[in-house]
Amino acid sequence: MTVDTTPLAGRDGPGGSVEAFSCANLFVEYRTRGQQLRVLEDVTFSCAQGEFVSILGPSGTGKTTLLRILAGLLRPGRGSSVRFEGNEVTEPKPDVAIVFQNYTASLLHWRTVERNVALGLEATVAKADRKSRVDEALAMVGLSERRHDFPWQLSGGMQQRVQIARALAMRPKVLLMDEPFGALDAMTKASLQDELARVQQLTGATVVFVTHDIDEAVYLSDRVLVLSGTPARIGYELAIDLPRPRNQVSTKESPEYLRARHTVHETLRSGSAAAE
Amino acid sequence: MSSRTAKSRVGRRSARLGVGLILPVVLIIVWQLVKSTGMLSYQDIPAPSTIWSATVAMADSGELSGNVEHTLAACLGGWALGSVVGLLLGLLLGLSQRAFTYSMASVDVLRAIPAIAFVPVAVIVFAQTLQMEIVIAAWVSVWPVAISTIDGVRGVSSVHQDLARSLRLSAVQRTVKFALPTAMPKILVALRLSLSAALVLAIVAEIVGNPDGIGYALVQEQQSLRPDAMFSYILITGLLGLILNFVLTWVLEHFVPGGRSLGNGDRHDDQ
Repeated sequence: MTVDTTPLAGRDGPGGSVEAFSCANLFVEYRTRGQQLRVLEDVTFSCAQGEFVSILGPSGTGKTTLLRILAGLLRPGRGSSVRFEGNEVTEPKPDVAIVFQNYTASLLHWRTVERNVALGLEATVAKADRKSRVDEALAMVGLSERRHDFPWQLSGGMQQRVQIARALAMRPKVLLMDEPFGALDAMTKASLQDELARVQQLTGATVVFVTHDIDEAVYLSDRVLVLSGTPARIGYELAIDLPRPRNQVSTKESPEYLRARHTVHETLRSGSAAAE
Repeated sequence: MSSRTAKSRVGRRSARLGVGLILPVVLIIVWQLVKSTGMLSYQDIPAPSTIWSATVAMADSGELSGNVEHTLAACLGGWALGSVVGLLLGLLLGLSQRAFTYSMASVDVLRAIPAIAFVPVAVIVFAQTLQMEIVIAAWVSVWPVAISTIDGVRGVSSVHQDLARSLRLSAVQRTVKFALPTAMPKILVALRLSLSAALVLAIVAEIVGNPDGIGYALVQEQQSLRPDAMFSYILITGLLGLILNFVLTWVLEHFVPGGRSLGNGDRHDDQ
């Protein structure tokens, strides 16, 4: 398997330290039965280009809401600021690809694997170039052999790989991932985590990764943001300085990993204790 | 592998067809016996053998094929026209909330009126022509296709809507890549329903209004007191419906993406 190793985006761009996303004083309110329900409050953070940032929090804290705001699918409350590469996010951006939690629902079951992967290219990339982009993306996730299959002929892990390939084929600067491995079994999850880490190193893409799995967040990220409280805000922020490439066994045995994991656990527990 | 499963599917299907033929064959034999032994003495119900010889005679004279062709043309022409109109109407009402709000009540009223009630109106407007039949057959085909299309294109899941938005697809691309494929299984079922309805209404239009085709022949044979010819036309109509449905199902399965779901049931339902 050969893979094009040139960085697809980000890293060596002008300035180097340009922020991919920055949010300031972001809040979100839903109106339910006449009541204003505030979901997110005063969320302020930024992530650098090429950085792997996890947004961690118990279910129902508004992680997906935050991701949809970054994706331009949802408008935050008035006065919030959400910027992508310095520009206000008001609609989905071409350089941002989303990987949804429900892979089965997100794939187009009437299309083969390769046509699913090509979906994001059809409107933007000339037909002649599409095939090589699809080949490249399928090679990255190791699904070249299953290109003519339909999604329902694949296992859950493979379906999620197809979705990741669909995002990668667009050569995005940013991958927004909404609990992508949440529904997978432990072994599949571990192998997809390593695959994602490898692909991210390869492409230099910025990843914003939503999860409720502490181990996953610490293992994958450069930085973990903990969402907690009601309305939720970023209660804690932790840089993870573990060397890359990381390893499911040795990294998880290292004292630094255990310390980071311990800290995040403590934060989440005290956060939920404060909320109750 | 796929050719083997295809072959075994054809095998299973012809086996099913063979089993399904047992009952009609038995019924025809019983019918013939009851007539031949004189147990059933109604003169106006002819024996299968009498119907058969009437059919052969009409086939020889060319009368049969002329009438079948006429009815078939009216049915297929009306069905094709109605399906296209139904599809476009369904897309408009399914994709535009405003169009839906303003016109859904009218659609519900129009579709509640039996199509047969429009036959006298169509006779006045289009006189006794093939056109009139086509319009009636088209009218009855529009609604199942339109309703299924509305329902289908509105069934695009929230995840697919998010996906389409994040890919920044235009309205046309969203329709072609998401709405139509999502709606396709429902539309295909509607196409089959409306084809049967179009055949029925073509014959009704011939009975009521147009001096041509199977429907008119039925009335003629009734008035000339020829029940054998009447039964012949009735059985031929049934056969025609069967063949049309079979051909349509085959075409949809082989040439329309998503048509397979007709045979297998829809097992890839989202969420």
